[in-house]
This record gives sequence, C-alpha cells and structure tokens, in this order.
Amino acid sequence: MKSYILGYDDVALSLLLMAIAILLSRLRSLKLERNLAIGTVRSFAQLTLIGFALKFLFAHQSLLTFGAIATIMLLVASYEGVRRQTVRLPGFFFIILISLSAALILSLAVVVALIISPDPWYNLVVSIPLSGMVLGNGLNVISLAANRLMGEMKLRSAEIEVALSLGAPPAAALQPAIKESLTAALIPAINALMTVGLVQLPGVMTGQILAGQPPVEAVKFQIVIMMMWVTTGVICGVAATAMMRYLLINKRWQVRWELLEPTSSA
Amino acid sequence: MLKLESVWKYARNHTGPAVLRDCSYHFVAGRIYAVLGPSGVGKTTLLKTLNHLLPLDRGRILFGDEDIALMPPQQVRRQVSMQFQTPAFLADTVEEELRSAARFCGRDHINPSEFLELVRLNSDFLPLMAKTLSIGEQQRVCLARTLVTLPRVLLLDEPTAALDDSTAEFVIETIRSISRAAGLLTILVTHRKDHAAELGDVVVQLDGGQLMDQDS
Repeated sequence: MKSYILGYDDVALSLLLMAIAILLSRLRSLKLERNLAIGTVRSFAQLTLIGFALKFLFAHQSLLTFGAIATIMLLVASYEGVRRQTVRLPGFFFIILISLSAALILSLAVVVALIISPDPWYNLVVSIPLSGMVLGNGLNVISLAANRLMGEMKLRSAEIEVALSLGAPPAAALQPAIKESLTAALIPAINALMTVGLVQLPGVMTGQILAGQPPVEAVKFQIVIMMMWVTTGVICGVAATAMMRYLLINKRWQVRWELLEPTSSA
Repeated sequence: MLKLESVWKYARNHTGPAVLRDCSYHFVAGRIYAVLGPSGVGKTTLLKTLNHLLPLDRGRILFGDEDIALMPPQQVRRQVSMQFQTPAFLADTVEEELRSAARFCGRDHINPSEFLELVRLNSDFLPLMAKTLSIGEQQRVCLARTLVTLPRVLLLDEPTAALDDSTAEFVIETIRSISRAAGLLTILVTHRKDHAAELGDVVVQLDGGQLMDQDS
C-alpha cells in the first residue's frame, strides 16, 4: 500500500484550517484568537521538538533511557493532575503517581512484553507512545473521577453522615458517591468502545493506514490499544478513588470536610 | 453514662468562637435531656461530637468508663445512635432503609415491622418509597432506623422542627414512650422551649461553649 509522506510545506498548509478557526472567533467576538495563535505556535514547536527528541532516543535505546523517560512522564502527569484540581488534597500527587504507575506497569507487561513483544522488550519505538497513551487517558479519568467524587460528597453529605452515624464503614458510606464519580469519568471510554469503527476511526488506526499499513493489520493493533486504553482507565479510576477514601475519611471514620473546601489559590 | 471532660470543640476551620469551651457535663443513663440554644450556637455540632462523627479539639468523652476516641468507631455508632434534623435516606423503600441500617451495624436478620411499630407506623409502610412520605412520617422512619442498631443512647437533632403542632406532639409522645420503655439515655436538641420543657427530664442550655442545667 502507498504510504503518504508530508513535507513541511504540506504541514504549513494546515495553518489554513487554523486561520478559519481564528476568523470565526473574530467574526463571533469569541476573543479566542490570541489563545488559538499561541496554541498553534506552541503545538508546532513542542511537536517538532519531540519529533527530533524521539528520533534521537530511538537511535540510543537502553533500559536506563526508557526508565528515565517513563519516570519523567509519570512525574509530569502527576504534577499536571494536581494542578487541574480545584480542591488541593494533601498527598493527591502520590495517589495519582501510584495509580498511573500501576496502570503503566500492567500495560507494559501485557501489551508490550506479552502481545507486541518487541526486541528488546522496552524498545522505545513501542513503549514510549504506548506509555503516553496510558498516562494521558489515566490522568483524564483520575481528574474527572476525583473532581466528581468531591462534588458528590458535598452533594450527598447528609446521606454519608447518616450512613457513618449508623456504623457503616467508610467504604460503604462512600460507595454511592464513588460509583457515580467512576461512572461519569468512564463515560468517554465506554462511548468510545461502543462507537469505535462505526462513528470514529481512532488515531492509532488512522495513523497506521495513512502510513501504508493494510487496514486489517491496523485494526488488530487498534483492538489491542482499545482494550489497554479502557482497562488502564478503569484501573486508574478505581485505584485513585479507593485511595482518596483513606484521605477523605480518617481512621476514626470521620469525614475530613475541611479538605473539600476550595483552596484560595485554585 | 456519657460524660464530657474539659471538651473543646471549634466549628469547622476554627472560625468563630468555640462551640464547646472547656465543657464538662455528665449525661445520666435512662434520662431525657433537652438541649436548648439559639440557632448557630452549635447544637448539631454537639450531637455529632457525641456520635463521634466529629473529632474533639481537646478533652475527652467517656461512654461508661471508655474514651469514645479509643473505642472502635462502629461500636460507638451502634451504641450512640443519631437522628438528623433533615431526613436523608440510603435506600428507596422503607424496608430497604431499615435493612441497610441493620447491615451497617452487623445485624443481618431483623424484622422491619417490629421497628416500625415502635414509631407507630404499620407494616403497610414497608414497600413505600421513603422520600414520598410526609415529613412527620419520614422523621418516624428515621427514628425507627436509629433504633435498628439497638442503641443505649439516642441523639435527636431538632426532631420536631419541621412539624406542625399536632404532628410534633405525636412525635414527642413517641420519643418519650420509646426512651422510657427501653431505658435509653436520650439527648435531643431543640430551639423550642415548650417542646424542651414537655419532653426533657432535664433541660440544658448550650451557651458560651458551656452546658448548664435549667430549672424545668
């Protein structure tokens, strides 16, 4: 099959699309022009840089390099996750770090080592893009679930206190709030599972087809990626909300309501 | 039975004056205490502190001879049961509600009708949706729910606040008969002096962070 190679002049043409977006913003007085322009410059610069960085790294494969990159990705994702919260919970950084690490280890063990089996197993061409997908999706699920859980706790404060006052353990008292927050956080992943192939052709598959892979081969990869993507999202959500329970309800089974107050800097 | 020893309790985030300020008081078993105080003085905080839903800032609360902060939380909550001012439900039907409470306190087999009878509701209420009942009936279902844990202390937060006079009388009579029959220590907070005088063996004023007996 033919693969399509783009020149920088082709890439520059895509700016025409952004020009339409900026024009629309101007016509409708949305005042998004500045952010769209800055975003365009940043995405060009960041993606070009990462392109060269990956080219360099792929040529210098080592377990140490992989470990260093994965650690940096985990730390940046955890920091970003804390920054996204309107309520700053003490120790939330580590909750994200542990949840994402669990999801990353599982996906590397099953998808990279067992299914794709590159040589060496940590081959950066495979492991880095997949790690990025796992961490990006995991972070989204954790952010959505955490924000929703704290909102649900405020909304259901009366029910939670009634349950605790009757002797319910924290897990039982928080169960309805945790269920609601995970359901909401996983809606995008479950929708994607339902509509993939019918409404949307996901990025991995589209990229492979454009790069000249036969569609049937691209689909196989996409199925594996979808399974990994959804499962690691579920793992991140379940792990993070389970750990948040210990943060938000103390050992004496008392809700730490003060932690749910928005911080002034947020 | 329930003894406060030099208890300090501030409102959330330590804003404002202390709700309990070096407060010592002894609630005696089998009696009904009516705690009076204006809105915002911290009556609900007092009850939540006794139920161990809120931690103390200083001092201790003894249940018998045991410090409740050192007892297993489930044991405290089973023996010191609290009814909140605004009814809130954990399940849809009245029967599920009572069974949920039983499960939480480790009692798998209960006869829900038995507890409804205590609050003078018949078993026809069991399949009904709790949230669709009148406020008075909801209050009584909540009272039945607190009794499922077989408590020795009953904490009631403004049990008559949202009720008309005739329903309030009925609820007061129900509380009195249950407390007397089971020999419960009952502590209710109210802003209604007439209800406090009618129901309380002892009327207590919460003011300036102190609990003080009043002539009833």
